[in-house]
Amino acid sequence: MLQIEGYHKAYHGQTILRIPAVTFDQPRTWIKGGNGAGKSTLFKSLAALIPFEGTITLNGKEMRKHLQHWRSVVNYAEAEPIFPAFLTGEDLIRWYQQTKRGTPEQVNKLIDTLGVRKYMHQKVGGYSSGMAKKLSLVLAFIGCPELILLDEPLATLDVEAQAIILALTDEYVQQGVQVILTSHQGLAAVSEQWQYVHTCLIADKNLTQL
Amino acid sequence: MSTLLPILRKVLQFQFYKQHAGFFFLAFMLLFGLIDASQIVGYHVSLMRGMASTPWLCGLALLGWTLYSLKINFFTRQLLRSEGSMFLLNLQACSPATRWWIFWVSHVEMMLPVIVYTWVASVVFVADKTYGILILFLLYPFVLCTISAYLYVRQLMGVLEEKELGFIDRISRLKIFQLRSYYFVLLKQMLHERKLALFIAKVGSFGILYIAFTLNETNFEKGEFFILYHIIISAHAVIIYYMVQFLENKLAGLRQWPLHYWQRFTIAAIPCFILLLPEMVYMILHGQHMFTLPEIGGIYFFSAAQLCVFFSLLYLPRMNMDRYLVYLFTIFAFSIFMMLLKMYWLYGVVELLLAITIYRLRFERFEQPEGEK
Repeated sequence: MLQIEGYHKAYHGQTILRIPAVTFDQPRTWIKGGNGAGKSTLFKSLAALIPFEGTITLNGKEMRKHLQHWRSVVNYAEAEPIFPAFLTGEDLIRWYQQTKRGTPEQVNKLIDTLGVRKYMHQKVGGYSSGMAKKLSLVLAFIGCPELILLDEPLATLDVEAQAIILALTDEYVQQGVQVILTSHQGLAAVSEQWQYVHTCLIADKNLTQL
Repeated sequence: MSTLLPILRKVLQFQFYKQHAGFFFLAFMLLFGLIDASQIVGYHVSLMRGMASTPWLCGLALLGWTLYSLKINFFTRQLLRSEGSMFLLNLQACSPATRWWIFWVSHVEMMLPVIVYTWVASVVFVADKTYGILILFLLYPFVLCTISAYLYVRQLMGVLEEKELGFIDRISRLKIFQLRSYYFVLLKQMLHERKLALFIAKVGSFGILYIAFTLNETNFEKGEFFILYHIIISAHAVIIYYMVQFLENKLAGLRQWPLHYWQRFTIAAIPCFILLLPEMVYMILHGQHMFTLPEIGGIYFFSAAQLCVFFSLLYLPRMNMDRYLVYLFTIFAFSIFMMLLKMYWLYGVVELLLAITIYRLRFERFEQPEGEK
């Protein structure tokens, strides 16, 4: 269960997002919102990547007090992933496997499921946006996460890969993992499981539950 | 950890040595290039003995290593902040000992030139039985590594803390600097992101001027000065390299702006001319026994124009650091000859025209060389 209290994020004194209190207790949550509404900012805050005011707690553990644990159990895939061009996909996968304590079996399964194996030995600088996206999604599922944050996971992916991603999230949800994602695309058409999910809307610098 | 170190090495150590190839070349030239090959060993042994017996020389060496460590520190901390290196934050998930060890080893690997030098020096100190300085030299680089590792871990774990604006950030937010700010964008970038490189270039630069004009006031030949002066220019050429990288990577959006070629070229020319102003002032104050005022003006103009040429050269096809250095030293050989002919102003004008022409022809066709993105 993810709880946010007194959240406030501002850039150069200008408020981007303010959330007095919200609890995400459903296994699947879909956060909607227009461009620039603050979805990615919220995700980066939830992933403990940027400073913010307020407290965020996951399963009773507050982010700031348990940063090492947070990094182990919260996985995040960016909307537009950026990696050093000179590293290979394999380098990054091994890095995540070691830091997130993923097993070789799990990693191999993810690589095959998302079809990354054929280009994982190439340097990331030569990847197309779809290839980089798939790699970032492989990384987001490595380890033993309690919360997976997927920012626009379906963007730049073909229809087949979109279905695979949502099926993968369902698999993790079955294991007790909470998944929060943003998407401008309709999810119900891709996966039945995502037809009746907990939905939130970010608008007017605030988050409301629908 | 066995997997983490080799990957971090690719991201950090390799990139550090690659990006600072010019700096290492300059340091190598200063330490080994100016001395006759037959005297190199003797020179360095007496330098090491001098460090053991003269406190200020020893202090100077320690200061140099501290500055070098700061340079590494600055590079690493900048990398930790960069968006493309966000995956490094996963080190937060490792145990405190692992985090600390990984950063310590990385810093040690980047300090290797200093560590190797201190080990070589320690052989001399053992032979001379100067054990105090031996212990100091052996331990000091590792103390710097330990402090740096602590700072890296602190930055890594302090990712959720709001950062206060630094002095330069505050200054640059003053309204006067917002006017036509694109003309000064490269100057600001130098002060923000390359301040350490700039500082080191200036320390080297003024060290050379001090040796030429103050320490050896009476017995310094113009020819010797011209060779040393090109080391000053080469130190600044590295900053020009960073400028173009910044302009074409981080500020690539500037290409979309409705600016004329003249305006674009001026954006680069302004820092080239401002960069060398302090050297000109120093020469006016201390160098008039060797050069007349018009000559000093000519030397300044010619060297600033040469920096403009270096800027434009970086727009030639497949211009990576290696090729850049080759061009740089070819130009040096020619310009030393022109300096000896005292054709400063003429050569400066030719250089400026060359810079403008190359830039005009290559700007639209510019492509980042592989591996420099």
